[in-house]
Amino acid sequence: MFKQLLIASFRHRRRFYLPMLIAVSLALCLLGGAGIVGGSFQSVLDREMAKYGANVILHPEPGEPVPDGVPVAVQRKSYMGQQVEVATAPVKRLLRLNPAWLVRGEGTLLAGQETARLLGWHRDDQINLDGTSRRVAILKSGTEFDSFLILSGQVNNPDMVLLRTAHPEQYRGRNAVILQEMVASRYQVLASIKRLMLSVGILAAIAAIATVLNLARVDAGRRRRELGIFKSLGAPQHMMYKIIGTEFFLLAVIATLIGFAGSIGLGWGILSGIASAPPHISPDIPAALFFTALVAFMAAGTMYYLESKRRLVIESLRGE
Amino acid sequence: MFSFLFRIAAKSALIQKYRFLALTFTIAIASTLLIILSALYFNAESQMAVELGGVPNMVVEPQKSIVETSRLTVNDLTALKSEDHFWHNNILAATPVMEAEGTLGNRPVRIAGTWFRKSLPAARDSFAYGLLTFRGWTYAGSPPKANAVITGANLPADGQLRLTLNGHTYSLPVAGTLETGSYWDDYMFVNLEWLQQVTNRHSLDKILVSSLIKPKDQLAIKVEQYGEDSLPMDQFEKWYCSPYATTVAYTINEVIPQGNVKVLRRITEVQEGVIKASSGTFLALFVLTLVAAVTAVLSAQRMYVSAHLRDYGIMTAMGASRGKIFAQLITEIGLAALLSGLISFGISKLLIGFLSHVIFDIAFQANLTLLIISVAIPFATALSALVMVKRGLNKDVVQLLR
Repeated sequence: MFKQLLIASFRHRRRFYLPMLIAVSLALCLLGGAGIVGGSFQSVLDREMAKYGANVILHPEPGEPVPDGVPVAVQRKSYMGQQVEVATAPVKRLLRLNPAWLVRGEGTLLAGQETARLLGWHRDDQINLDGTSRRVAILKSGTEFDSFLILSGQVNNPDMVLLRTAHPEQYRGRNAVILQEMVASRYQVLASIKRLMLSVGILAAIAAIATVLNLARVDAGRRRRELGIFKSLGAPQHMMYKIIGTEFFLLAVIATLIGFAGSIGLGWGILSGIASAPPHISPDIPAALFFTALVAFMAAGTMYYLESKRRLVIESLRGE
Repeated sequence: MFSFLFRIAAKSALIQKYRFLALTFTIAIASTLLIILSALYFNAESQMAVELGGVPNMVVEPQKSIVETSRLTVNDLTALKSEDHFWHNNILAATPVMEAEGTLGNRPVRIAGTWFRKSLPAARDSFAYGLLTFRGWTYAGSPPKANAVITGANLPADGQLRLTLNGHTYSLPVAGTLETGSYWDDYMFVNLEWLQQVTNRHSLDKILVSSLIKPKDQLAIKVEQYGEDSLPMDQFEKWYCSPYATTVAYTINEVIPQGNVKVLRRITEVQEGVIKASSGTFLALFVLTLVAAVTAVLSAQRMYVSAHLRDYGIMTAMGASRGKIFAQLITEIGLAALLSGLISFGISKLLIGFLSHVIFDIAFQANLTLLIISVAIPFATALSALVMVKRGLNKDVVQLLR
């Protein structure tokens, strides 16, 4: 009987419940999407921060164990009457470690932009260096490597080792330069993004509740008439509340499921499509979505209750 | 005719005052949501760029060639914020640097002569140059006096330092410590004029610049790879009028031709990446917010129209034409939209200031165009109410009267 009543009610109210479900699910998508994006933005920032490249430049003392990084040996040589610093390093690893560095040209001799300017070299120039003809590629790094000539090769006794590590502090006190310029900005940005996402979520939840309340008002007349019939047939008060409560609980569950699926889709879409990062889904998100959906639908239930309270059965039967 | 319509609409709104208020407030909430979020999203990108732009991302150094090395002076620094510099508004901070080497006790120390904070006339009003104007660097200490020093985070920060420079020893008070997270943490910063006086040098070694940049696109990548000379005139103009890192560096070089502007790519790449990822996210969320707000307005209108169907039935029974019913409905919804526009304007004005302060610790205003668009949305969606009422009027009059 109870099940049949529920099914009949859902069938008769599909014109109201469908837009309610759409509105709440949309708002939940926005809320969940904002939560997922806010929670995952840390990995987006980490990925972008990795473009910073080496964050430790260690100058190892003689006999000091060399950590696993990119070793660089530097020598001073004279070319065309100019003193130039020539660095030997595994170039591919060096460029992989520093993705922000720009190399113009395909040559095997990497000339820092300042050295190239000083020597009057351009990209793709053919240069005879130590008896070997080499093609010049220009390096624009914005670092001291701009004043180096870089040759590819293995290094056994490095003058410096370039590293990217999550714990640069472990090198403090050693002969190392620790670069952490964007770290403070990273935390500021992350905090701003999280606060922005929270604001989006709250405002979306308000919009969802407003939508559900409006649609509940549309249906209030018919619902009162039904409640009037129940009352006149002698149905107890709690039975009516049970029906309304169950309907809205089920709607909240359905909206949460749709909203959660939509949130994952939205979060994944935004993070993979725009920020190229996988979403991180916190276990708090489904709970927050269900709570919001429950509040929105229970607000509608409360409206029915307030509308039907202190009315005579005859008024309820008229739908007034 | 209009005053008659207005009176009928006002009377109708008064009779159904709770429903009219619910409609007005829902439209107001949806419009406010849109205005606030659009203001947040569209300011967030630039604000994010400002937050990320707190550290130097360009360095101007004297041009070196086999023949000679050019000179940089503090006058070159002020050119950055002059009207002659096309992107002067995008310069967030700048400071001159003159380097020297000295000793602190027995320990060699690198010294940077700079301005701590100095206001000079700029294109508009004045601009504060100096070391302490870089928002991404953390300074702990008292406001430095002209004879004071600021120590980098890796140096000892005693109350008084004995600095030996060019064979002379100077006793200098420490005003505070600067944490930059870069090799500048190994430097001791002194007043530029003082260093110029004791070293008897007047040219600068570099100018540190922090500028607001736009993430690069295909055009900017093309310039990075092949240089701006490779661009045809129309593309060059487009590139020149967009604040890419390369463009800002190019325009700085225009006003400081004796300087060589080096883009600190490890900084600009991170800035560009974060701005690009954030703005894409904001845009996607804005579109969804728009959909949620429009849904809210549509549901409110549906509620209003459904509640009025019986009245329209009476009007139809009394011989009112569809056109007249539509005109009355449009007037009522227009009235609600107008009222909600006023409410949302007031609320958004208050809330934008509050939320922008909470989120970004800065107050910004709603963009006027967005404000107009957001208020116009309820009017535009009012047309959907006509579709609803048209569907309702297709029913039999008796059904409507029920």
